[in-house]
Amino acid sequence: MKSFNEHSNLNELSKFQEPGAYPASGFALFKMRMRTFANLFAALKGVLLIRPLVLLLCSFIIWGLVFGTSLAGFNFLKAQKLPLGGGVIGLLFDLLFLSLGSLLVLSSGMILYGGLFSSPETNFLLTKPIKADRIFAYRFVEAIGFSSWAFVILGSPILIAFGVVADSPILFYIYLPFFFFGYVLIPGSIGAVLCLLIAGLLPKGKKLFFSIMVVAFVFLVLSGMGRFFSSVKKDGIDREFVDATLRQFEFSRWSGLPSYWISRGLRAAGRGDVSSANFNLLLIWSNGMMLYLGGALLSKVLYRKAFDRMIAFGSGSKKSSKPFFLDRLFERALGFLGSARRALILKDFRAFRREPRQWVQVLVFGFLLFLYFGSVRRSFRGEVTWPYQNGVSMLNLFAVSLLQCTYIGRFVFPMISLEGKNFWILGLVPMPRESILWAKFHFAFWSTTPIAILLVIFSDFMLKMPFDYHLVHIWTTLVASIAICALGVGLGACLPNFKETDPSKIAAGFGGTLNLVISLFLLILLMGLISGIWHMNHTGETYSNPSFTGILFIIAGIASGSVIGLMAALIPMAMGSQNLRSKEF
Amino acid sequence: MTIFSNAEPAIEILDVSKQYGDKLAVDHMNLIIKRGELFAFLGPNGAGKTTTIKMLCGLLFPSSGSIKICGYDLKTQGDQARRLISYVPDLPFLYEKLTGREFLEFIGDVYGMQRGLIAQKIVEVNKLFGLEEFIDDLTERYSHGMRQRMVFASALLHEPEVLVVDEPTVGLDPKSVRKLKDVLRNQADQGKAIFLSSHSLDIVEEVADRIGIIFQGKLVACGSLESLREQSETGGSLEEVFLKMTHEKLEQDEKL
Repeated sequence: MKSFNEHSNLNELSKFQEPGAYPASGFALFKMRMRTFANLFAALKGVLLIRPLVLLLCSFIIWGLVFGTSLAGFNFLKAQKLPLGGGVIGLLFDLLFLSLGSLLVLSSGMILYGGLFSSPETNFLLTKPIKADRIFAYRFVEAIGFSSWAFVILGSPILIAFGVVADSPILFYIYLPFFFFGYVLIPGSIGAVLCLLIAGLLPKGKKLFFSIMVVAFVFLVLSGMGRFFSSVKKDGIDREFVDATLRQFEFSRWSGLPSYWISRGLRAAGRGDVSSANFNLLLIWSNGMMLYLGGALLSKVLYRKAFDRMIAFGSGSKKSSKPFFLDRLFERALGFLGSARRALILKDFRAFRREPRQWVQVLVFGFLLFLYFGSVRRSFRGEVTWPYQNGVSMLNLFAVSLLQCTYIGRFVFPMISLEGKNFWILGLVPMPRESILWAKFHFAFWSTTPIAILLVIFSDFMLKMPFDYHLVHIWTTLVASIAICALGVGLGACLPNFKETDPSKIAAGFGGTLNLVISLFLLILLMGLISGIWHMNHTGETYSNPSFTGILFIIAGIASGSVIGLMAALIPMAMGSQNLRSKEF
Repeated sequence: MTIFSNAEPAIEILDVSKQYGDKLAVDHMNLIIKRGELFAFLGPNGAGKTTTIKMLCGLLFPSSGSIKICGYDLKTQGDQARRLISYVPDLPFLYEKLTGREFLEFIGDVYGMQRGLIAQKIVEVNKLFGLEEFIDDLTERYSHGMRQRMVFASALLHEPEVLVVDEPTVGLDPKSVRKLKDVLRNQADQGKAIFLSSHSLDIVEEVADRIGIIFQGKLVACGSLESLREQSETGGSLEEVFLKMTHEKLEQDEKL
């Protein structure tokens, strides 16, 4: 055998660098990402551009809706002689950025967690001589990109509408993107630091940590709601009430909050006050970059250790030979379905209940709705007037369906995609492939509709709505549930992404966005036709029977809404089935 | 400049244990693998092979003990050590939206190789693994065999001192398996240390210089095929040796 040094190209390869010096792996990752994008765009040449065009259209529609609503809102405030540069608008901006920032902490932290600890690509990169902070930076950019697009789509139309109504100079619009991109660095970095600390220091107790966070969040919201309703009950809605309510949100005006800086900076830019705008812009960027550096330094020390600890302690190893009572309950409740279809639904149910990240959010929002419905009537002095009952019951109905719609978009739409490379297992089961879809539909329908209907009944009961209202609302919820569940499952099968393993990325991708936009439009249409016409024919001072023409409209609305709902369910399911039947694995 | 000598071991696993909660996945393992040696690592499912491999690549850290690659401790000098290793996993990862050539260039960049050298090495691995037909296609279109060849090409691009290979022959046709065996043997003959984990005992029997058998986290046997035959008092194939040794160990444990 020849000696090692005769063969080794160590000198020639100059790896080659001295120990302690590292290859420019950060640039290599950046270059690779750019090439990936370039290849992606090159692949679009010569094929239908339907996907990006629909995605752009959807984004544009959402943007337009938010812009239109904001424009109307700011014009209303202007008509009420409320100064647009005054304290009320300032407080609203503070609250807007604070809440968007809080959501960004959560979403970027969760996406980064998936990217850093459970991605095959990360496993690959960690075996290479790439420094931990470079991998962190690479994943951080991706997480920020995924989590902040909603911030841009929701925040920019509101601010542009403000600029238009407040006659802001051109400078305001130039400053906007700089403020936006600087601001997302701050909550993104905080989310990243939290993600690293939880994975590195609490690999065993991360579920406990998330539970404490959820309880703390619910407590904060409840105490806020309690104070709000008690002040309404005591004083009624008047100027004093508005002032008192605004005082409750004084905390968002604390000058140490980044939301305060962006709010102040943008309003200063709106006034043409360049020095104040620059001061706040620099404050945001310097703090954002400092926090990012803190995250990068932490990743240098902690990331590889955290990865090791997550594998060693992170996954639960609880074994159970006995079937879980909820599984048995779910199985028995679906006894009317065939055993094969029931088995498929049970499989999805087990996967769902073993992933607390999925159901905790739904539980929290459902619980908050329940509390709100329970306290909304008791919060007001004297008897609630009929127009109020009529309006609020409709809004409550819409809120319940909206929650269901969000849940379907986030958790049900990705279900077919998440079968991933193992889809062939389902493809080979001795049952028609459309049965797989119907099984997923049943899972979506039965895991959400009973809760939605109970919430609607509870809301109507608390508002003392007449019995016919109960019936109309239950029917509306039922039709909307069928349509939204079928749309989510059907579109999920039409536009599967078998390569992605992160459900949040599937939901935020092309298919997920399309599903969300169509579901929202469908929901508005069904609500309007089935319940909206009904409510509009009961808008008098007291509850009274509608006129003959009104009854005709109501019947036409309910009938057309039901037919549209049914069609909206059957068409995507048929398309999804067709796509699955023709799929090769 | 780092200069290594043949006397230095390429892989040193020194009293390494790895704990997953209550479970001891690797139990006080000691193993030295020299340069130019093709070491085969055998063991039943769940014996601790994958954990050992993940520790060798720096993905996991030992709970106790240390692992050194060409003298670099993986825990404290991980980046230096990882520059000398290549890992070919059982489920190879490729960037779907890169062509094979772009993927190889990326690997070269990650290892800090000069552009000219990367191009030269790509020509070499292209020839060695027969990549020319698909090297400029997006990797998403590759078959399993193509992916495996591409991953091997990328693993050898920077001429690693240590090559860790996990189940390399799964899904490969006989011609590719033959090629792979030749490549592994050739790499070892060129002074590289090869750590091969496989369930294909016939391949191990054919190419390995030394064989280690891990069972329930412990290295229960280690040596050449002949010495394993002596240890197990079996004159038969590696399969017989393997079954006898793991079975005997189980019986011993049950008696205890």
